[in-house]
Amino acid sequence: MRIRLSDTFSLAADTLSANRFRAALTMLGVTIGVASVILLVSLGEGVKVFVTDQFSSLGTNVIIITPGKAETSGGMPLIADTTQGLTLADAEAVRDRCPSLTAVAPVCFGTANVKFANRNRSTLVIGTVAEFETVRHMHVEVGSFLPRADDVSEKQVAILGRKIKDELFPGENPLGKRILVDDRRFRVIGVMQKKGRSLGMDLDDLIFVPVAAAQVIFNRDRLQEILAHAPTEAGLNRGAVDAKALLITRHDNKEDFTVHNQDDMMAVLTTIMGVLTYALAGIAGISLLVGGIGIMNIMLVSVTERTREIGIRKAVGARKGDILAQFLIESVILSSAGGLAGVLLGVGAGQGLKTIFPDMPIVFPVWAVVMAFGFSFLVGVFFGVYPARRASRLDPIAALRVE
Amino acid sequence: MIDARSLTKTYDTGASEVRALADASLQVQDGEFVAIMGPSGSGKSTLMALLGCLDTPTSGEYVLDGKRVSSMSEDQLAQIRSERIGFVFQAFHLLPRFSALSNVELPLIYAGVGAGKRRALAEEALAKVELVPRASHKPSELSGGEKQRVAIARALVNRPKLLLADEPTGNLDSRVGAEIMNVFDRIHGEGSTIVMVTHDRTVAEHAGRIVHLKDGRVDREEVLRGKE
Repeated sequence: MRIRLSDTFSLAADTLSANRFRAALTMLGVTIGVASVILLVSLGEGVKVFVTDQFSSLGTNVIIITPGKAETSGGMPLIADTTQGLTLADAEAVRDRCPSLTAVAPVCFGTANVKFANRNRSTLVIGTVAEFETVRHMHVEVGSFLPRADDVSEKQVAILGRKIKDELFPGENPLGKRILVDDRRFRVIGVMQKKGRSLGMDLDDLIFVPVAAAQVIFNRDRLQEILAHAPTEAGLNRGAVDAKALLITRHDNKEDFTVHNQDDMMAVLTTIMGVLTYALAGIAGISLLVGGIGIMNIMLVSVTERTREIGIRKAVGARKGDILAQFLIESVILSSAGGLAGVLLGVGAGQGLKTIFPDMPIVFPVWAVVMAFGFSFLVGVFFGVYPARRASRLDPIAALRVE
Repeated sequence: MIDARSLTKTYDTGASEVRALADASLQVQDGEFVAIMGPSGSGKSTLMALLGCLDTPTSGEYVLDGKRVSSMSEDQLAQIRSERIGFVFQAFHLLPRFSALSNVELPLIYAGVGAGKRRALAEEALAKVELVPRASHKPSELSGGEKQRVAIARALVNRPKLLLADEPTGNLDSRVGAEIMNVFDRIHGEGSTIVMVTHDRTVAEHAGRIVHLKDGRVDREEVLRGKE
């Protein structure tokens, strides 16, 4: 018959509780390791989710065509060089001849002075078409958005971003009012929903005008970009290929433009964030190893201190395996309890940060919590084996002689 | 019960070899009470370690209760110790943090006995040494004689075939020592086989036979009249 597992557990627990302070200090190493892994992974995941949300708030399945041939992509080409031309006719061609792209929006933008009565403000003026709403997920709260793309006559209408409305028309209804954009008169036909900030831009501090009107304001016959959206990823990829081929034909077989896939850019960013998160978690994981070394150290001390106890146990019939199990379980209890405390500390600290800084993106992934705890368990096994083996191999006669 | 033939034990201390036991043979019958005497360095402790299966001989044969233990593995020896042997040491060797009762339970843990049965058996063993009222005391709260009684109860708790005692009265004054020897007499009277090492002639005379060791060999044997 062998010793029962429950007896081994109670033996180990009993020994640890006799040395509470020491056990607590030893656990602390693992606790800090696990807590920092969880906290860092949660922050990393939080930032990843934050970035993904920011991108998604600007619409998904979007391609952006910019003039000029860019060799690398990354970041948002919201402001691009326009020396080479993309024209309204290009945008119309893409809209008409790339059926998989369900919404195509030419964009011409710049900064202009917007004035109503005696209030004026310099702001971003985006010239585009109705489809922009679909592509960028930006919607009007009251009134209506821009006219359809096929109606690109120079209609002098404007839709105000939330902030512009509040600045120029505090407490007033702006619909139907006439504002001046660089001394040109525009009639306000709508107010956008509040959108907040995204990727460093205030999406409420802007106005929309028809693309043709913007070209007149900024005295420009080209576009900065053409946005296009497809309902599916396959459609988007197809549309990107079609649009590229079409535009090459239209540009005398020169590829003097670039088709960016916003989702690809997001994927690149997410990957970078992921790598960073793992790297940070790995560094935090090192402190978990240090905690493990602390456990091994204290277990070795314990084996030395308890040499006589081990001798007695062996004399009354304990097998090697019984002694091994007792010491191994002790170190696993130490590391797992430390790990559990680390989970509580890590999640608690994260929640605390979230309470103090509500904007801080923190997400607790279950896998990270489970993994950190599992790792602490393994640390206990790994660093416990050597001291436990040493204990189990003690010669009972020599061990009994030790005072 | 014990049939040990030509046991030798050599310790390798690096530079030189120390021969602790040279050709020692010993037979002990079931129910016998044997004392082993001899000057220090004569190999008493080594012989006890071998008889108690705490160690294996360098050469020679040892058959305990029909089992050839001289060629057994460490774990098999542990099992023999667990099932057939009870130890009483000079220095008591109780676990300081455990109560008397828990100390007595210890061998049963390694025999795989469940907690409830352990307690009952341990209480029974403590009753044999008349120490039930001190069951919850820790060794530090017990007198030397009481500690040795706990140790005896621990040795008896798994009903061993063989009780080995290594200078059981060595750390006790003569009055307490005599009390402990009365306990041994009683246990012997109940049928246990006892082998005991001692320096003390009066203690040895509680046995039925005295084996004298000298230089790692059995020098002579002395059967005490009126005991057998």
